[in-house]
Amino acid sequence: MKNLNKYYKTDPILLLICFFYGCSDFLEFQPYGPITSETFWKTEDDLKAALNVFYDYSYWEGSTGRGVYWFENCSDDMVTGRVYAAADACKNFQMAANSGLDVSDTWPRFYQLIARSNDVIRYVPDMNVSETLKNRGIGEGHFFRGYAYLWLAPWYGDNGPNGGIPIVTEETTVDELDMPRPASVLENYDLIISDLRKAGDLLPALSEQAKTDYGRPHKAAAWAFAARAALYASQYDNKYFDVVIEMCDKVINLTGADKRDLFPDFTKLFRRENNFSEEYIYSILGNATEGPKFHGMFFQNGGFGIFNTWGYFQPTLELYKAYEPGDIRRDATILFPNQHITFVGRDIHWAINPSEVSSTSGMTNRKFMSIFEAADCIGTVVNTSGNNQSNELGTVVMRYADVLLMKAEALIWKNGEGDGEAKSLLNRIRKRAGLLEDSNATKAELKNERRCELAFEFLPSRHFDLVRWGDARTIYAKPLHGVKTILNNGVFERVEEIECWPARTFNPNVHHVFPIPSEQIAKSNEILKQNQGY
Amino acid sequence: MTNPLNKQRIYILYDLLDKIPLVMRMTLLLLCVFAFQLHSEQTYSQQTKISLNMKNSSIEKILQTIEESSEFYFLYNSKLVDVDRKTNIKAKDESIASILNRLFEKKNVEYEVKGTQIILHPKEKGWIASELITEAQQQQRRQITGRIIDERGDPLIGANIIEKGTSNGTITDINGNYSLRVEEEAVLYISYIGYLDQEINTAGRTTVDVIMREDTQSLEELVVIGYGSTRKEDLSTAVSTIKFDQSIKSRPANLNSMLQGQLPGLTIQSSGGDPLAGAIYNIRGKGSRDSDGILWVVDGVPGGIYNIEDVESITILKDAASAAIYGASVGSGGVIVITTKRAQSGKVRVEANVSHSFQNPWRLPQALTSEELNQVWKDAVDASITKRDLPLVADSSRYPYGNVTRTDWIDEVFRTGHLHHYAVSLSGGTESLKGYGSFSYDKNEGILINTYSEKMGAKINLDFQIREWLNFSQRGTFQYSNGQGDVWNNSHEGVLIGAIFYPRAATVYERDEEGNLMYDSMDDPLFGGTIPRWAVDKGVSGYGEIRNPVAELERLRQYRPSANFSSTSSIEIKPIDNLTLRSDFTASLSSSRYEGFYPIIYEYGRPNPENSKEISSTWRKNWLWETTASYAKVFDKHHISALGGYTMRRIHSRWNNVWTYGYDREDPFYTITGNANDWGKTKPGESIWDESMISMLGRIGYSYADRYFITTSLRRDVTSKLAPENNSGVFPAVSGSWKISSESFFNNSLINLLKVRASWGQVGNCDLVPRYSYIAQIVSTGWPAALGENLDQAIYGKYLSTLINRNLTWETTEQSGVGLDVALLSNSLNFSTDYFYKVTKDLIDSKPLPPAAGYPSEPRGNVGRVLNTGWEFSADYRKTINRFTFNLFGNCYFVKSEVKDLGSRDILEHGTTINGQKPLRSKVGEPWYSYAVIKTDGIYQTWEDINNHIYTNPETGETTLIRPNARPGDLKYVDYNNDGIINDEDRQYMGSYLPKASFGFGGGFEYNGFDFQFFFQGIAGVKIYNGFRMMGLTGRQQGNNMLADVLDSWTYDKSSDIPRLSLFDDANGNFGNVSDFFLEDGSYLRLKNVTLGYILPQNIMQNIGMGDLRLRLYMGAENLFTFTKYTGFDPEVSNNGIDAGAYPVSRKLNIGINVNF
Repeated sequence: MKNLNKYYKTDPILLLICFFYGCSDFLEFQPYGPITSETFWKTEDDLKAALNVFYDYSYWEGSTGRGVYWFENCSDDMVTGRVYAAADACKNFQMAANSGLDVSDTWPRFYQLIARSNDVIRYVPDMNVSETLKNRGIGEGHFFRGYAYLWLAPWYGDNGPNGGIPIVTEETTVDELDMPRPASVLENYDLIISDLRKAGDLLPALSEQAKTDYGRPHKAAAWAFAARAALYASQYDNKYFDVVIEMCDKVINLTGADKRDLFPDFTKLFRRENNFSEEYIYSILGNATEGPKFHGMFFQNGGFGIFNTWGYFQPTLELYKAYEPGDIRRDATILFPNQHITFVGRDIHWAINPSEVSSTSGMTNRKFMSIFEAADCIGTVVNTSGNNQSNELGTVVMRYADVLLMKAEALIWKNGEGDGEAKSLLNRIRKRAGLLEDSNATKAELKNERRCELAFEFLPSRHFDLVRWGDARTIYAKPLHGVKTILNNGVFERVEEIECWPARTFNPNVHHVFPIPSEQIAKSNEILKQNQGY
Repeated sequence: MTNPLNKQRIYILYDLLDKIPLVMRMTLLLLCVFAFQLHSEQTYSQQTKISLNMKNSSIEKILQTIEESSEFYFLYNSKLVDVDRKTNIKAKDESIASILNRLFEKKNVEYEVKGTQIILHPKEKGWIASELITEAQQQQRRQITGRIIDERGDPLIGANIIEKGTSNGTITDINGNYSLRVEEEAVLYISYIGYLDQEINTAGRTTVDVIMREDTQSLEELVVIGYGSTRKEDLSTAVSTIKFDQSIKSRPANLNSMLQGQLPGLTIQSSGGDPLAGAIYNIRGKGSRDSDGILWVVDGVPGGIYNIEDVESITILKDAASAAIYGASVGSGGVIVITTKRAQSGKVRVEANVSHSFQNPWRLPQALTSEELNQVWKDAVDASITKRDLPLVADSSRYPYGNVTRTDWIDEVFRTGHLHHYAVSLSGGTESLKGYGSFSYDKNEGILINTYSEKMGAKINLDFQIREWLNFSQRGTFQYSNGQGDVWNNSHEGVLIGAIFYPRAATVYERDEEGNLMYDSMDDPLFGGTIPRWAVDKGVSGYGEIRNPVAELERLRQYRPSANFSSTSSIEIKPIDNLTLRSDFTASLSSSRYEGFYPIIYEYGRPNPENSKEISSTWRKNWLWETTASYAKVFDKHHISALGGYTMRRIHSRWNNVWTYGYDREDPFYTITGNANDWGKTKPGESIWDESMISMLGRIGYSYADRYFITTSLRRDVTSKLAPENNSGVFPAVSGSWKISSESFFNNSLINLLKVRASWGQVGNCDLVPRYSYIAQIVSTGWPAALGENLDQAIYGKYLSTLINRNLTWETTEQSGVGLDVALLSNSLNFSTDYFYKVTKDLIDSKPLPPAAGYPSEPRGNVGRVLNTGWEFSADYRKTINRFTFNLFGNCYFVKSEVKDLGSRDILEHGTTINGQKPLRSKVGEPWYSYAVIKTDGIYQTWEDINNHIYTNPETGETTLIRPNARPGDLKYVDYNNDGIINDEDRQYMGSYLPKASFGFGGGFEYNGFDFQFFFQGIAGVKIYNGFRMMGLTGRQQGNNMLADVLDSWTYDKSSDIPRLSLFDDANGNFGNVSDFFLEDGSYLRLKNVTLGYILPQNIMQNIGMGDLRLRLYMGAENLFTFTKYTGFDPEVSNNGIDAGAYPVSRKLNIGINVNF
């Protein structure tokens, strides 16, 4: 009706009427495009669209690009491969709250995901839609709320003195949005665990998911992330080990089509065709159009003029040496001088031909490079734009091996070193890695297994592991090393060890968390407090 | 007033202009009769008998009646002849002589009859020589005759000619002719309203023809203010005007460049030399956050369009008191009023202007040669701690090909560009129908290859006088433009930085190992990569991410036509004396399109495996209806005027775009959208919106005895952009002035005008308000997420984009100002100064949502306040001595800006990035968009310097090195917050890209057909962040070539301020930190323009049979010299002062011809 009026309004007679009597209708228009909020939350299509928006976080630099990986870059597994002063400050634990790093985008992205989950949890129960869809909707709402908090809580919250991060739920009103931090991050972990439990109840099992729905959350994913949250919480309170075990068991005990297992060949695990292998629990998906930008960030800066990879985050000799002899994971993870790799159909004889590599450690990451192998990969499975990098290799954020390792860790820390079940869990991992099944289930072994198995994955985080284990100060006080390739007449002769990152000072009372981006502090009316020491 | 000859007001001019059409309507017969009468002088006046019966009528009215009932014209100076006197006259078939004798009996008025012209003059002044001097004296005097014309060659009627130092004089007749008997050595003093006075020595001459030059600074001149005009000397607000005269139009530049430095208070920062680039305007400092929108009012139509060729004058309304009548809508930055030429009745006048210019970059940076690059690499490797390998491409022993300089990329991408300008305009008509038409065409071939713009403009303007009280006018303006450019130079990618980065061993076109050119399958030559293909095949590799800059430009394939059409119909009714009703209806349509084709890029460097095409088009229509009533009346010494108006406007816009990918062939005839193989990758976009506004306005002016002036205005705007309960804004203004020089006690023959002004006012701005901002909108995600086993489920979601803010209201700029105007030495020296205090409050900016709110965009709110204060000065001097006219002028403008409040925020970080860095921030207490950078304190010369740069913890007493990873040759950073580490918190505010001072000065002369002008322009107190240098000094750590400046770095010269070579290691972050090392002084002084013109003498024109043709040849230069400390291409870098390799402003040489007839 309103639209019709508009046409009359240009009638000169009506204009004259407007002239003499005023015309408020002349000044109001209905927008083209958007739906107004009053007419949303009605149909099944509305609900589907509201659920689809959960994946909006999946292609932003701050959430699936460098983002929090700057924090992971503090670990002893890697050094920054490029000149970047703000990144150096972060790695050296001198980060300023107003640092220009794009990790400042992580906080808003995941709080958006939280707000959208809250909307779903708030509105869907009253919608007139099918029960199946309603359950899935509410389940996804809880899943993504827990999942989103899990991307933020570990980096910014603690159990004192700083506390957790603001807890916004479906019950929070607009006036309450500017809220203080909870006293402890355990409040965040509790909410995450409770959300993921609910999600586990409501979501379909993987076997119930249509293949076109792969990538959406399912029961096992909810439980596995609940286990991760509990594992992170357990650094403050041992009782969470039970939750870890409980949640891991829910995954481990799945049967039939839902049964999860280790994919037999680790060297082929990170290939596009194995995106949904038996080891799959949850990955962030993309394709050549859009998706996570993570995989291309390691390889040679500028990609030798072939495709613009970015050259950040290079492996250290410390990580290289962490692998036991015979561990097939080492060469599947790290590209070492004198090794070959196929990059966009070209044979690269690493550090030999071409000899100049941008990596400051002389090595680079190989784990995710399979997607760049084919000569025709660009434009088919990898984004044509080197500034985007999205690709069809799933960005793994939870896989079965992690579930086994989490449970093993909980068992060892709860029951003590040498726990029998922990041994068998670790041996399963070791067996696939081509190692002897001789684990003693010591804490040291668990830590190293976790490091070698999960290196460079997005995430869990080696850095955060070191922090929660209390090892960060000692380990970071040592310089990091790389290699320099010595050629003789263009032929590989040997490598020399070099120091590629000086020792750093980690203050466990400050640097166990990072500064909340200063722009977020500024948005709060002095209610949100910055982490101490920043 | 002091000098009557200067200050006269010849109102008769108006009468005469109105008469001209009458003359034109004479029949041939009448003309013959007239001719006959000319031969028998006096006969008409003797034979014509007139009957009159008028009571208590002014002399003026009586003369008018005589004019209407006969063929007589009266020429008189109303200042000297009292025509306001009321009298009675009764005559029956009386001769004109008799009537005039009775009218002026004992009133000291003489008359002289020349055919049908009757010249009135005061008796005692002895205007006519014959009345004062004896017959014998007369015989000794010389008769001087001549003709006074304007620059167009049209006669000036009623111009004053006086023998200098005497009261002997006369005025010109309807043909501009005069004759006067003068002493042997007499100097003639010639004056005419609106024109510059001239003094001419008559020694030895009997004919003195004079061309009068328009006085662009005349105080008598009418200045266009909102919905009306006023005499410049009566203004009480701060406005500046520039006349678009011949000298300005002889310049080979665009409007932005022409206006730069001309008007105090207006800062124009050009967006570089790209043929498609515009400029950023600021009036009296930057107020608003992003939109200091300037309202362009063209012939009274806000937002109207214009062609430069038609522009007659440009006025900027600088203070809020003058701008407030336009209220708000587009911006509180101020109002720029453009007046275009109107039709003049009379014979058809034709003006043509054709010019051709050559343009070149005035300065180019140098890149290292291949040999130098390899040496620099060797030196950098030798100096490195880790003893890195020399990259193969820089190792002449392993890759000798790379050690030969083959191409100067800077030289390859630049060229001599050409500008072509063609313009013609016609004007003429009768009293009842006048017409104006113009056409212009411009082509600008840029100084970077394959960039250009072209513009076509046309205008038609018809004025109908239907009845004496009823006028109608119709004007239409058309514009078309197209072009190619918009050359992308952001951060680390782009043509200019590419021309530094690209190895000079490479070739423009690919060659095989034997040196033969290589071709693609379509037989087109292949562009050369960073490394030739044969070398790649042998396993040679270099760093990537750069593209052949010549190829980048050659591959530009844009089609960006834009057409604008605007029509304004106006009706003007004068129902009773002193009241004018006017209504203008403007309808315009604009349509523009952008098509870009992006081909596959094969060559080594930064390939692009897939081609694509983008098409977007915008279609916009709007209409504006403005109706005003104005009333003006004089009661004795009281002048009052009143204006009221009502306006409505509506804009409707539609935009859409489509991206398609994967064309099998790339030739332009094939690449239509339907031939794309992939059209599903990018969502098509569409945006449709409406916007409307209703306004009411009023203004009252009062002045007393030409001494005291006061004006007050009020406008109320109601916009569709704001929530209905908050959508209106009221903008008041008041201004006053005191013309001290009009006071009776003021009696100073040196000072012609002394006036003080004061004003206060408010204007509003809602430009930054997004449309429909008060409606909560559920919108769609912009990009698809992928799901599904095959990753082929592209899903889009819907979400609430932001919380709404219904309380949002207008951003308001409140401005107070005082000013002083002085005119000295017979008005030949004028001086003005202004002080302003401008507060922009309720800034429209995103209103922060709480940190946990989780909405991707923030609603707009009214947060913040900015203060701009400043001074403006301008002065000009002009003088004519004999046939030599010269003038000098200058202006300067100082502004101080300070952000006073940013709401809950302390600091705003601005998004302009260079190499991932964001140097710009706004902070309370600092100017808008200041550079926040880490300060440096020289370079560490020795290890000792580094070890002495320590921090002592005040609690523990522990000392630590501030830069433990530094090496000699690194920058020493200042630990501003004194915490022992250098990070973002050590950034200090070190100036802004907005200049603190702007100035312009120039002058010129005219002599014997020659005219010459020069003009300097500059800015001061401005900083530039030289990102180009930041990238160019390291090759961006990717092995790229570098600026030759690296040869002056610390590695080679220990006194250098350039840090050591940082080609691959930079642990100190010399090139990674935002520091003042990259901050440079962006002040400059430019010889903006020099023009020399020559008008071919009349006798030459007559000899070639074109007597009525006026031909002027001119040549000139734009940006001939630039004085600056800035080291980049050019200090006008755009991009908010961050030089990412901006398309440089060029130097232009120009030749042209003006033809008038």
